[in-house]
Parts: sequence; structure tokens; C-alpha cells
Amino acid sequence: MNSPDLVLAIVSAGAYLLAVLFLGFETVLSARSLRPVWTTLLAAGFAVHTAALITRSSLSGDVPFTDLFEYTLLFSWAMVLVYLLFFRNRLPAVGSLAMLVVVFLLLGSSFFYYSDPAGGKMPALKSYWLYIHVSLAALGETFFAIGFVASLIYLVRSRSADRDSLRSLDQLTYRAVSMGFPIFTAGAMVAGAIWAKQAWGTYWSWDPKEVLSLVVWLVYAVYLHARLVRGLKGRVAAGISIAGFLLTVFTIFGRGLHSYG
Amino acid sequence: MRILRGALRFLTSTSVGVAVMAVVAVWSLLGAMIPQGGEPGAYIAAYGGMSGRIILALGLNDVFHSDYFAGLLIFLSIMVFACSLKRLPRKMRLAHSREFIFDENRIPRMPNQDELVLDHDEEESRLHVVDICRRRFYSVSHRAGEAPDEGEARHAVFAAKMGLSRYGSFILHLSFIFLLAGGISGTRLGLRYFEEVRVGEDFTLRAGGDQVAVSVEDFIVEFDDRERVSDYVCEVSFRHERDGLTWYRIRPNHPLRYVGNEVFLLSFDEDPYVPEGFVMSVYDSAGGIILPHFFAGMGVGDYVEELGATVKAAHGVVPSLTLIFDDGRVETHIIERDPSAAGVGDGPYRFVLSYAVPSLAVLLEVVREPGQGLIIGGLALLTLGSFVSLYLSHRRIWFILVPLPGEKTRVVFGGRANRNREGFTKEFESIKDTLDELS
Repeated sequence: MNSPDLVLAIVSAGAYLLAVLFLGFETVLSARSLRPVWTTLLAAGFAVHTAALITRSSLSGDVPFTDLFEYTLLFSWAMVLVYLLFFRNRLPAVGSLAMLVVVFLLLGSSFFYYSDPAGGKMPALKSYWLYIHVSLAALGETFFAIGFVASLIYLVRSRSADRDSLRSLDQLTYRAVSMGFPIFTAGAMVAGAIWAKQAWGTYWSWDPKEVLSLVVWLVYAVYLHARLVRGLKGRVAAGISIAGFLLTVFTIFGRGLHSYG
Repeated sequence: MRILRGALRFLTSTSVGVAVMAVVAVWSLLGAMIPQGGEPGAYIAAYGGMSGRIILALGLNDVFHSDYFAGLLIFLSIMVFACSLKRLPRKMRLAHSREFIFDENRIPRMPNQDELVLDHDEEESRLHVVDICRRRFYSVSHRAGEAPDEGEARHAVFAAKMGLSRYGSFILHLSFIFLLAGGISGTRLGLRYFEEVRVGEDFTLRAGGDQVAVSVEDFIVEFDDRERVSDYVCEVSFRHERDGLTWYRIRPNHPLRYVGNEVFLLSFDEDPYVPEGFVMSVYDSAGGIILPHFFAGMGVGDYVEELGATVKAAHGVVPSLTLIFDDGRVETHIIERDPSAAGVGDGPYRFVLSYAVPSLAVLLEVVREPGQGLIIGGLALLTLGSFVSLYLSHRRIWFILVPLPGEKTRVVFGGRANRNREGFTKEFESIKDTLDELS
């Protein structure tokens, strides 16, 4: 429990949680004065989160890509980064829920999936494709996570919120999915297939994790296809986006040939 | 003809396409959740009589190798490609056409529109408009014309960029055909097999019409400070009639490419049936220990000074040792499993087994895949298509320049983008602001 990477991960989760609380107070009390408080907490959480990743890397002597704890640490970090870079000025509700997802991931992985950083990397993972495949797949999935959060809020508010607010949520989901889909395609599908060929001699072996990734890809392809060709919006679109991310979570935790963690 | 048209309409229907994609997704999901390739009885035992029988009847026990799943994938690929082909002429028209608008009434229907009066004559204003757009990487063309009703003379300017975006979905759909063709040719025309070999063993390989003998010369496993495998490498020699003997090293993630073949080092395993040798204690006839932790390899004759003999282990019905002494005498000894055997017997030495050292078998995979170029092409198109269709936006702006008295020009302009409309709105506003400085 006293490993520095673990302590930093938990501290960053605490900072994010406090940021969400203050953001909630600001929204409920309409107290604009609380904005500097939660933005500072968010920035501090992100800085500590970054430090957790760096510490983990220095302890393991490699990039933190190889097991479930490291992947979750990286994924949640990328989620905060993507939110801050592309969606910070959108809707506070999306930011709050996204941060809660990050807190859940950080605490869940810290308590249930923490692994010894000196675990070493198995020979099958010694390939530069690891960095390309995992980083791009995680980044693509991060955009899907933001789309999931926006869709979830859409469904919860679909009967009560005004049309403009719903349109913004719908637009945000589309934006997140359309940004994440090409990255996921390049990282999870294409780089994954090329690496699989190098490591296992075949581009595709119908391994459960590969199949789940294909299903995720198909679900988001259906979403984009229906949206771009048929103009699909609203509850059905939100439902597909939510289903897509839930399958993404299954994919992350799926095993098969990808049993490294 | 009507049937053909109906079939084409069915193949290019968005609803059918989405439905087929959904079926593939659901079936794949079931295939991922239900263990594949098991014995029929195992499904009945695991899922119960009724569910197990349904799984077997629907072929969910081997989804990914079933003909109907392959058929579904082929159908989906043909569908998306037919759909793409049908839409291609329209996309090409949109990507390349230069449409000049002289009718001001069409501008307000566009998502972005505005109107300004510039303090320049018509020609100078046109030059400014063209310059402003070109600086933002638009391809610009213009034409003189008249208003449709009054016949008033005016200029139309058309600016467009990133028309390539229109081809994104076509490229993406084309990639499916490449991937499918690559996959099918690899499965039908290619070859894939596994060889489990130990050091010193060999197997044959077909390379360019010749038979090549491949021998595993060495296998090295490296361990980290916690005794976990950190790396392994296999040394192989290829004996080719024409080229002679060549040595190669194969590592995980670093396959060997040899005359149309690829040889992959997949893993290694301990062979429980054929030990590499035995570790034993050696006692003299009085029960005194000579060697406490002595290793003798199978069939490997190592000279052991303490025994004054060359020693080889063998594994028949029981483990045994053959000792070849300096004077040419040969003795065969059983390696006793019972420690109490030490010190009992007539011969000069007693051998008591500590443990057998298992031999390592290397798992190599030999692949000949003629469709690789198609697959690589398909993967490249898949990446390109998804980025082009979602990251590029075809932006078009139409300007109408109407000359006004006093060397002034009224500019009515509007534009649209097929993606990232927010980004386009910002650019449109910036073009408007730059034009505004001229007013």
C-alpha cells in the first residue's frame, strides 16, 4: 500500500473527487467564486496523476502499458487529458461525470488490480508495436468514454431538459465518437492486426479480445453510419453510444491471447 | 432487369447494411462469450440440455469457422462496397464540381451566410476575395455572369477545399474488399502449420519448390533476477541443396522470412516425457559422497574427472548412466530413485536421482500467406478511409460580387461543410472579419 505510484494514483483520485464536489457546489449554488477552487483541484489531480504514471514508469523501467493496473492508470489519465483539451468548455455535467468515471477507474484499479511494478515485461510484449497499439487504442477508447458520459446524461435528462441542452449533448457524443473512431481503428484494429501478425503469425485469430474489439468497432460504425447517412440522433443514438462503451469495458477486461496482466 | 434493380436496391440499402452489421456484431459477441471449438457434450454439461442444444443447433460452438459466418462477412463486404459504388458518382461530382451561384436567393439557405459592402470596385474586390481564400488553402475559381431575374452583371467566386473528404467512406469500404480478398487468399492458397521441436531435432520446409531441412541448433532462455523468463531466442540452421547451410536466429516478435515462408517463434514448453538429463548424487561404494549435485545430459558424453570417465545419461524403462572409462571399459548403472540405495552394492559408484531436468520443446509456426499484400493494403485503406471520412471536412464557400455605384461592391456569401461545422463556422467568421476590414 505504500508504493509511491499507488499512493499518487489514490491522491489524484481524491483531488478529482474534490474537484467534482466543488463543481457540483458551483452549479447548485450558482457560486462562480468556486470556479478557481475546482479548476485548481482538477489541475492538481492531473499533475499528481501524471506523476503517478512517471513514477510507475521509473519503477518498472518501461512505459506503463503492460498490465491492467497500468492500462487503467493510462486510460484514466488520457481521459482527463482529452476532456481538458477538447471538451472542457462544453457542459459541466459531462466533465463531472467523466471525472467520476476517472475516480472509479483509479480507485478500482488501485484496490483490485495493483501489481508489482518490478513485474517485468514478458518476451511477447517486447515490440514497438506495443506502444503504438496500446496508446492509440487507449486514446480512441478515451473519446468513446467521453461520448458514453454525454450519452448517459442525455438519456437521464431526455424527458426533462430543454432541446438546446439535449442537442449539445447529442453533438458532443457525435464529436467524441467521430474523433475516437479513426484513432481506435488505427490503434486497436490496424496496429493490433500488424502486431498479431509479427507475434503470432496471423493478422486475426478470432481471439475473444479481438472479437470484442471488432464488435466495438462495428457498434460505433453502425452509430456513425446511421448518423451520417440517416441523420440518427436522440435516444437511439445515445443508446448505441452507451452500448459501444460498455462493450469497450468488456474488451479492456477481456483475456484470451491477451493474458498479460 | 427489374429483379436486378431490386437486388441492387436491397444490396445498397442503408437499413439492410446496418442490420447485417448488427447481426455480425451480435453473433461475434456470442462467439466471444461462449467457449469455441469444444466437444458437443461439454456444451450440454455446461449450459444445460436445452441451452446446450440451442448452442449446438445454431453453430455457436464454432462461430468463426462456420460457413454461414464467413458468408455473412462476405455479404457485408459486398454490400458496403456496392453501396459505396452507387454513391461514388455523386461524391465525385460533389468533390470536383465548381458550382457558380449568381442567384442571391440561394445564399440564405446555407448554414453560414453573410453580406458586406466593400470600398473597392468589383475587380479589386474579387482579387481580395480570391487572395483571402487562397491564403486559407482554398482552391478558388470565378466566373462573370448575370442575376437570373434582372440580368444585372455580377461575378461569382467559388472556393473549396478538402474535397478528398468525400472519398473517405469509399476508401473505407474498399478496404473491406481488400481485407476479405487477402483473408480468403491466405486461407485458401496459403499454408500454416506448427512444429514442436527440441534442440538437435529438425523438420523440413518447402521453399521455392525445394525441400529445406531446418534444424534447431540451440535455444537460449534468459531469466531476470526473480527467475522469470525475460527473453528467449532460437538458433536454427537451414540446409538448402543449392545454398548450403545458413544460420538464423528467431525471437518472439521477430519472425524469420525465408523464400516465401515466415517462421515464428511462438513459445516454448517443458517436455515431461523426454528429459534433458538428470541431477543426482554420486556416492562411492562405502557410502561416502563424491558429487552431491551432479548433472548428466541425455546422450551427451561429458568427461567427469572425479569419476575418470565420460558419462552419458539415458532414459529407457528406468533412468541410467553409461560410463566410458579411460581404459575403454564401459559400465552401465541404474540411477536409483531410492536414497537408501546409496552405499549398497558391489560397484565403485552409486547414483541416486535428485530430479529429472525436463527438456524444452520450441513451438515454431510456419506460414505461407500469399494474400499479405492485400491485407496490408486493406489495413492502410482502413486507416486512411476512417481518418479522411471523419477528420477532413469538405468546405465550400460561394461569393456573389455585385458592383455598386461609387466604386463599391456588395459581397453576398455563404458556405457549408460536410464535417466539423463548428470549425468551419470559425473559419467563415475569420474570412468575414478579413473582408470586413476592406469595407
